[in-house]
Amino acid sequence: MRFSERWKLAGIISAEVRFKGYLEMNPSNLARVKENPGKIARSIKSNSRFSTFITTALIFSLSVLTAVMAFVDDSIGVPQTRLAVGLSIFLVLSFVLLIFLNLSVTTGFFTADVISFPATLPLSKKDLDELSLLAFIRVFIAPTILILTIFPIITLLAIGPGPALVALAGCAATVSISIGALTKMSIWFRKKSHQVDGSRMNTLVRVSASLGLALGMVVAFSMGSWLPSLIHFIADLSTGMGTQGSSVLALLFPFSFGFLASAVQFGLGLPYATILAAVGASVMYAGVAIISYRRTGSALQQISVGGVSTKRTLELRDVTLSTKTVLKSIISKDLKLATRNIGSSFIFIIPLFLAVFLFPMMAGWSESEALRSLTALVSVEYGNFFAGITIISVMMFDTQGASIQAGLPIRSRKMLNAKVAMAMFPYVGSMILISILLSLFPLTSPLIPLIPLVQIPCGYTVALAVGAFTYWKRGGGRAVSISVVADSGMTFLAAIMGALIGIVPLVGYGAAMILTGNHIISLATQVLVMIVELVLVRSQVPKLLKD
Amino acid sequence: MSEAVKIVNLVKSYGNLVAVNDVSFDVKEGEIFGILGPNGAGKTTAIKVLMGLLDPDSGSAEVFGISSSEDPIGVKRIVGYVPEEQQLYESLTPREMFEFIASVRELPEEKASKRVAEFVHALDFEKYYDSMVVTLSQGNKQKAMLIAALLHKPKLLILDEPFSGLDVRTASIMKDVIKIHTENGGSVLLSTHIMEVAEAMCDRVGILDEGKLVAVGTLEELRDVSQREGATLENVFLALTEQEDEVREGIDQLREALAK
Repeated sequence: MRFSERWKLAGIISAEVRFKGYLEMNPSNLARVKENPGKIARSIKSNSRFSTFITTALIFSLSVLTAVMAFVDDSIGVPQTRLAVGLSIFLVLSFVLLIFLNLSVTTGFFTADVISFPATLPLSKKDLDELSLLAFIRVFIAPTILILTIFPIITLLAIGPGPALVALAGCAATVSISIGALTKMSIWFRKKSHQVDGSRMNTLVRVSASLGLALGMVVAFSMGSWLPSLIHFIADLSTGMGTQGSSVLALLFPFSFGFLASAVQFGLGLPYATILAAVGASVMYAGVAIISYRRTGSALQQISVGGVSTKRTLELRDVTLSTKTVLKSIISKDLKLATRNIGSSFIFIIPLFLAVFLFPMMAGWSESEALRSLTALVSVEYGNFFAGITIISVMMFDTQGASIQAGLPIRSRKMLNAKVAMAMFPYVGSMILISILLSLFPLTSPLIPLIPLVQIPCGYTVALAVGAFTYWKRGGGRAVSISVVADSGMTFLAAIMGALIGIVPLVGYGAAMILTGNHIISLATQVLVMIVELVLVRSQVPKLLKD
Repeated sequence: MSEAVKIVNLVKSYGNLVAVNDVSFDVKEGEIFGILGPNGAGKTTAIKVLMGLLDPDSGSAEVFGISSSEDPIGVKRIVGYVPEEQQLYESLTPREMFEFIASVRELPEEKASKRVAEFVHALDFEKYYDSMVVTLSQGNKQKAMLIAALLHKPKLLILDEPFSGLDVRTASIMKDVIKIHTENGGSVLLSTHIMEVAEAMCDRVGILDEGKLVAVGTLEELRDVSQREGATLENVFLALTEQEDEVREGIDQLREALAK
């Protein structure tokens, strides 16, 4: 089979992988696929384009940022160290990006049968291995090409052909090794997230894995903000460790490629031992990359035909049931679903995400003067924005179980109450964290950290209003599931609504502050406006809902 | 005999497509009623309106006198529903799923435990009880859906294409469950496009085609209407939906293509 034919066939398989991944994220679309396949196809295409755009922008900006810091910024060590550390850091970031940005997408690949049809065609095992690997690569072709081109081209233009060639080899090795690691991680995660033995340890592993992965994604997306500090840190470390330390670092992946590029450019400007270590380790990692490429193809072929086995011997337990109240049972069910899904677990780290985002902002603003109440209001408003997304994310849990829910006598209001209760956890966490963050900086008034704490009940108002509106808009008032990924329009609307509803008490605070300049009166106004808004929302919600 | 289901002049459209067009039929208490029709005939839409999941454009649907559009919660309390799509909570185990269902239905814990244990043993489901649903075969998922639908001892069982893709053993179990349910006084409304199933199980059938109810009655009554004495339900169905010539032509073309 010619490469062009394999490439074409791999394209068809990767489209199927995206489709299956999409359905896995939102099983309720199974019914819609039959009714409106065109809409689903368009939705998948637009999601795919959006995801490609984000990934492209991220890799492009990281490449340029790293290159500028490594090749232009004179404040970082000597040129040899700058080149070595710059390339190495870029390879590390590429490795992390490829893994965390593609981990959830690859779940579609592990849904059995994506390659079952080609397996019935007269193709050799080698062809099928290649096909699996090519299809897998095509799922994230855009970042792969970007990683392989941008940084080496910048290196070529800024430094020269020798280091550019090493950069290209390093990037290729990184892509190959990260694909291998991604495969192994995806298989492990799928196993862990689909195995249940009821033990606390298993639950702990599952929850930790979900949160770890979600946190990894956040780190991947926020790399740009701490990249300069990272390059400074590694460069200082490398210089501080001396010849021996550099040689040890040159043995590690992917630093060996960085030091090799530096050796090619500066020759004996680097210690002899470091050059030797870099050459030897680079050759070894190139070999590892080739082996990884081959093994990944074979592993993918096996799992894509048979799926990932999640079977294990279970001890038979008594066939009993333990019941709860309706509200508790919905929350308990949702929590179980959330901790077994990478995407869903994201909502639990929203407070952390906010903290990572807000800390540099507060630090920047506090450099010139003590923080004013405006900082608190802006920070809380970010929290409100995420509160809208949170309630939609909680509704996403119902994308599973549509067949069960259709027959259950659950009132829409009851369902909404359960979702609101769940959405409150990240909101409360966010507000407490904002309050703590504010306390870390000099403030114009010690009462400022109270603004987010006073705002906590507004999380209920936001969740209730956005949730009811969503049920009305998407289900005609009936409880429906929403996929944050598939229904980006509704997600955007929810975020805007969350921001608008949440800002009302803050405007009350701001207005009172302008008029009186008194923090206590402003806080009291914030509370008062919040109560009025809550009463108003509660009176309107039943009009939007239907059983 | 009172009516378990009463559908009167039901109309439901999706845009320009009239999925259910002025359909009326009833299901007597204690009988097995089958809605027959090809894919896209409107069977699932009619059932969804009956379950209160869709609002009708006009007409009415009732279950034991409870209006599906006015009190869908009341309808769901007395109905056990197995929809066509197997969209279960894939990341839960059957145990967790049944606990959720029993809690939402506010069933007494002891009673629910006893009932689920009986079903699980009868359906040979013990070893899957604590496995994640996503790992179950289609047959075992169908068993899980059946247990979920029967947990609260429903008066009416609504099964939408219950035999699609089932292996022989599971299909046989499903048939037994339906029979036992009616023997105990329950009623069953099932939709299917498998004629043999309908012929063997249903007391009466209604034939839907392109949203319209073409005929309703016992097999004998349908034979009379279609003027096909002694014919199988399949032939009666093809005659009533005027598809006999179309099917014959298709077979001829296929024969020609395969012979080349």
